[in-house]
Amino acid sequence: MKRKNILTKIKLVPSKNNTDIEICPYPFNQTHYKRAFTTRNVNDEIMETLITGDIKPKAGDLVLCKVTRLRQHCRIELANGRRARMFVNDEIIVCYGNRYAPDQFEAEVPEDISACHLVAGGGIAAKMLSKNPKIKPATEIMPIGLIANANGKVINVKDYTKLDLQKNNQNNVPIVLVAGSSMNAGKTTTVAKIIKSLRADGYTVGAAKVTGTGSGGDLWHFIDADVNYAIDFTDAGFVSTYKVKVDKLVDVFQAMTLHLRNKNVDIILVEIADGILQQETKMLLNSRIVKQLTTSVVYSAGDSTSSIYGYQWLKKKGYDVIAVSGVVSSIPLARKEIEKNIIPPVLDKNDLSKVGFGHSIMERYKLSNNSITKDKHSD
Amino acid sequence: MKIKYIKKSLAACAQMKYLYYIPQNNNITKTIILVHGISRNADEIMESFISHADKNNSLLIAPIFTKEYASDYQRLGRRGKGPRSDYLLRSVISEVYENIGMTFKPFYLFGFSAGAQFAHRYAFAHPTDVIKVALVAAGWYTLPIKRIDYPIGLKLGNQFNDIVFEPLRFLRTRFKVYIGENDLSRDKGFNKKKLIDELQGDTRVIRAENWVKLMNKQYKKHSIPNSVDLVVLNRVGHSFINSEKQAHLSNKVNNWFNQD
Repeated sequence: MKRKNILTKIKLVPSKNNTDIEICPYPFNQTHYKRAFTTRNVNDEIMETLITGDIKPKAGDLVLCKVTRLRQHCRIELANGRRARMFVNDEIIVCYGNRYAPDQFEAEVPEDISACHLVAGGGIAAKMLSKNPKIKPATEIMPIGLIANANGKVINVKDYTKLDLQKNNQNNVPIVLVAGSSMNAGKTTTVAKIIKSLRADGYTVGAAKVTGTGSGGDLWHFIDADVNYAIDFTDAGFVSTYKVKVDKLVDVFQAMTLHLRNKNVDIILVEIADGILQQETKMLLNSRIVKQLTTSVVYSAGDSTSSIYGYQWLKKKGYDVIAVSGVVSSIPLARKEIEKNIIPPVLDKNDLSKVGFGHSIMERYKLSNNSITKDKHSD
Repeated sequence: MKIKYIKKSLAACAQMKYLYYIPQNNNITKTIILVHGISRNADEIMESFISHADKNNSLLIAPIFTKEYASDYQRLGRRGKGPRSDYLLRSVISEVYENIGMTFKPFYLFGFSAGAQFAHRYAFAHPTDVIKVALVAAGWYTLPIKRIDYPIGLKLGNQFNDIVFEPLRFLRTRFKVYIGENDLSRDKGFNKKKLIDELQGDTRVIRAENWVKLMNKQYKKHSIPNSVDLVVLNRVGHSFINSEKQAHLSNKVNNWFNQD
């Protein structure tokens, strides 16, 4: 492999005080480190140098860190999905990123590369701002340096997407969106069950998770449900989507669905993370483009009140909500409360897995051929 | 006939040059890293060691830390003072190993003068990387004392993000100290800081003796079955060439490296 010299392109800042930036070769090929899921699309061979000093990291920058204190996360998800145990002094390669997770942490990319936290097992370094009282504080890590290529350019996952973005005129692939009332409302389980039904009924299925925090859990869940193609926002170059602007989120939505259309799937299932009131989820659902591309919505909720509220909110936005699912669907009294108040069926895991459910989704699409209201306004 | 060795720049950094020599029978059994002093005398050290390399099946690697690029190399490249010299050395070794199809394994480390400063600090920071460390004519030393600030002692502030000095680990490393009996001058390159004079002595000979004593005390204190010997080189001042001519330094060091 031919490599270029750093100094042909980078002018080093003179080393006189602590505010300097240093670029130093680092033997990544001879070092033992644990490399996180979020970094998986970056080829090892381009990691050549470390950048240290007074530098402000950006979301998506790769960073080599040392584990200094194990707290909430004692394991790190590797690129292949294995959740490896971490030990103090382990070297890990993760990405800087923001996190929004009511069950765990709110965290943001820090201003410098001083000590910070591992705020997601998928491999996100950030400064913890708050935490759910039910969990421990975040695991503490010490960044050693930003990881750069031979030219001293910091490696950022946004430059390593694996989506096929060739134009595709096949616009008639239905897109079913799975949104929910909150984190852990049952969205991923719903997607997986729908995948199983569609696959059993003979369809080619693509699944995408468009927002959230970089972690393979949902992706592996889709793959385990025998989906034909599964991608998430990390494949579009984002480690998390918290604090990402709406136009970028819409681009991600479009890019991911285009990629799956290019795989000639019969149907695309899209999971949006968190609840409909979470800022990025809300912005995405308010987008005219997303509304136009979406065929129908399955709404997963944790309780009856949020089911009714969410259903009405989505209807008002112009979405065709075909079912309510999730945690609430397994609670008989809650189901009754919902069924008294709103029209769509409440479907539990068994209903979603029933023979023919996949066919019914496709037939509904064929009958209506895009039944959503084309609402031109966004909130 | 002069045996030729190779001079290269690190692929990822043009300023980081190094020399290496592969024994002619290609049967490498050990790697010896040769670290120069502030005169950057990597060539003369390489030329002395090369005569033993074929017989001992030693791969020789000599990094060149230039004054312009890595002026703080003796102290491992503290924050804000240039690149980390321990990373640079590892990168050089890694590149040589990659070129000849070897995987990373512990090596023998030789350092002359400022190179000896680098060598013992590297061994303190990365004890599992090294097998034996030969320190020749170091100007001064990092003392194995936790309460004194680095680089004179082991107490770290924010000089490094990832180095932790762990005496119970680095005291297992085998060191040998070599010093010329006439290495007594307080020359231009000699560190004349008052604190160092007070703690370590006012010549390289006294500083070497004191460091050896202190290290041996530490082994005793921690009940570690190890010791550091001091080898005095007769009729030698602060000169690598003279150490070689008068005291056959490279031969002595190679013999020690070859012992179990």
